[in-house]
Order: sequence, then structure tokens, then C-alpha cells
Amino acid sequence: MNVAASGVWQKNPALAWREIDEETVIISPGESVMHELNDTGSFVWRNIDGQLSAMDLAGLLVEQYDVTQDVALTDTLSLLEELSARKLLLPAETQGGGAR
Amino acid sequence: MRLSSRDSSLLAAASRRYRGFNSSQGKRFSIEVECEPAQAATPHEFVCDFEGARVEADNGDAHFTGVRHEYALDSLLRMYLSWALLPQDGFLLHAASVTRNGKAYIFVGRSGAGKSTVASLSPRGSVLTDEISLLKRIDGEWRAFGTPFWGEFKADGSNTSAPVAGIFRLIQASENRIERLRPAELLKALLPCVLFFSANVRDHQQLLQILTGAIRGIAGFHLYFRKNRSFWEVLPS
Repeated sequence: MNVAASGVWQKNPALAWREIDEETVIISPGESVMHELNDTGSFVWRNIDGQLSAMDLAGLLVEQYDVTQDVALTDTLSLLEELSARKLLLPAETQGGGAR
Repeated sequence: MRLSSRDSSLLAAASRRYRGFNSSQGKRFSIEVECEPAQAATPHEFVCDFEGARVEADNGDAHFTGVRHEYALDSLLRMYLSWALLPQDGFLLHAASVTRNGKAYIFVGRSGAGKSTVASLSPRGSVLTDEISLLKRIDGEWRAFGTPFWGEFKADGSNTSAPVAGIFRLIQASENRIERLRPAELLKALLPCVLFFSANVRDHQQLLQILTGAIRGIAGFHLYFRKNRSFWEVLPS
């Protein structure tokens, strides 16, 4: 699966999550599975709102952390792809028609 | 809790098993038990199935159906309580709880971690449970309560409680020592050991909120321990 930089994502509403000390714990009730995000993963997760694109999220990473736009975008796309594969994210309904 | 059933033999057995926890006063869980299976699926706030038996619950009352033996009743009780404790700021945990000097020490771990060992190394009467602990925040203080849920289906426990001294994740080792856990680490250690059966995401959000309160209010540790009483020497008083 390839995630596009223009893609927009939303958190899966069927999940429960909590951010503790810049780490995020996500529970998938249907599967009784726990997922963990580190500080940068938590930063991206916190900002996924169904409006911002992957490119927008990478831009926020550049502002927050000392990384280049290229590195931020690569890392963001990689994280979004992983979260999507785990069904923690869903494509947001946008005028463009979806996340990819 | 208050149990009622038309099955007199099951009720008698349950009365013996849970004799220390039956209450006719104060806040209570009212549970009606039937051996017949549920007639039809109707919406309830909480529904959970176990080997042909079912718990359906709304507010404080529960209806158990398809209960043909004590084991099923005990399993449904655990399922139901895990949900019914949410409004009371409480939760169930795979953990042994032992009191010492008026405080409760919570030893958490999955099967084989050493819960029963720790309990067996503790004086009789000091063990609140060797298998399933109940933690609840009352007036800002986290307390551990005795439960009737013991390992190997033993009937034991008393309806008493004590303030929690700490939560200790059991790790068998060749030496005794403790390592303090950060709150996030404690949450990740607790989550796999929390009993929770609801499929409702709002219930899980509420559980996470309660657990967040617990990890902020209770000190957590890794406890590396030898299988003898000497581990008490490294625990905080």
C-alpha cells in the first residue's frame, strides 16, 4: 500500500486511546489489541483530524522537530501507512474523494 | 452483590462460594441468574457471552442466562463486574493483593508470573486475592478490595480493603530488586492484565481514563524476585 502526500486521514472512531507523557496507547476493543506510539508518533496522531494531509502533518513535524521537510514527509508517510495497515486510520471523506 | 435464582442448587452453591460478598445493604449489584439460555437478542448497555451463557446488564442490574454450573456463573460475574465497576472508578486486574502493615501490595502478572507463589509466601489472612484484584478510587484514595475470584477456582476471600502501597509487576529472577516505572510504562504493564470484556469504545475510553488516574495515583515498579519471602525486604514500606 502506498500513502500519498496529499492523502487525508482520520482516526478510526472504533478505537480508544490515551496520551501519557508524550506516549500514546491505543486500544482496539474489537480485537483486544494494544498499540503504542512514541513521542513523534504521538505528535502525528494528535494532529490527525480528518482535515490535514500527510504533507501538512509533515510540515508540523518540521516546525516541532529539527528535521528537514524530506525526512519529515518520508517518516510521516511511513507512519501513516503502518497505522492504516493496522486499521487505526481510515481515509477521510474529502472533496477530493479520499486519502489516496 | 445480591444474587437471585430459581435454581436452588446453583443458588446454594453460589451462596457458599460468595458468602463473604453477599450484601443486603449499601451499594450493591443485583444479579438475576437463570439456567435457561437467552430467548432473543435485545439491546443492552453491556452484553457478553461465555460458553453458551450470557450476561446482559443495564445500569446496576444484570441478567445472567444459560448458567448451568458454578464455573459459568463465576466467569459471568467477572465479566459483569469488569463493566459495572466503571461508574465507581474501579477495575479488575490479573493480580494478587496482599496486605502488610495496613497497606495493600498489588502483584500483577499473567498466568505463571508468580501471583500464586507470592500469595502462598504470605501469611494466611493477609491475602485479599491470589488471582483477580479489584482496585477502586474512593475519596481520592486508591484501595484494593478482597475478591472471591481466586486461582484454581478456590472459594476464599473477604470483603475487606486497604489503601494501595504500590503495583509490582512480577519478574522471577535470581535476586530481589525493584525498578520504578514511569506512568506510561505502568499503563503498558497494566493493560494486558486488566480484565475487560466490553466491545463498546466508550467503555474503553472510560476504562483508559480510570487507568490514567490509577497510574498517576499509584507508584508502579518492576519487582525482580526470588521465590521466597525475602522479596518483602526490597518493597517500599
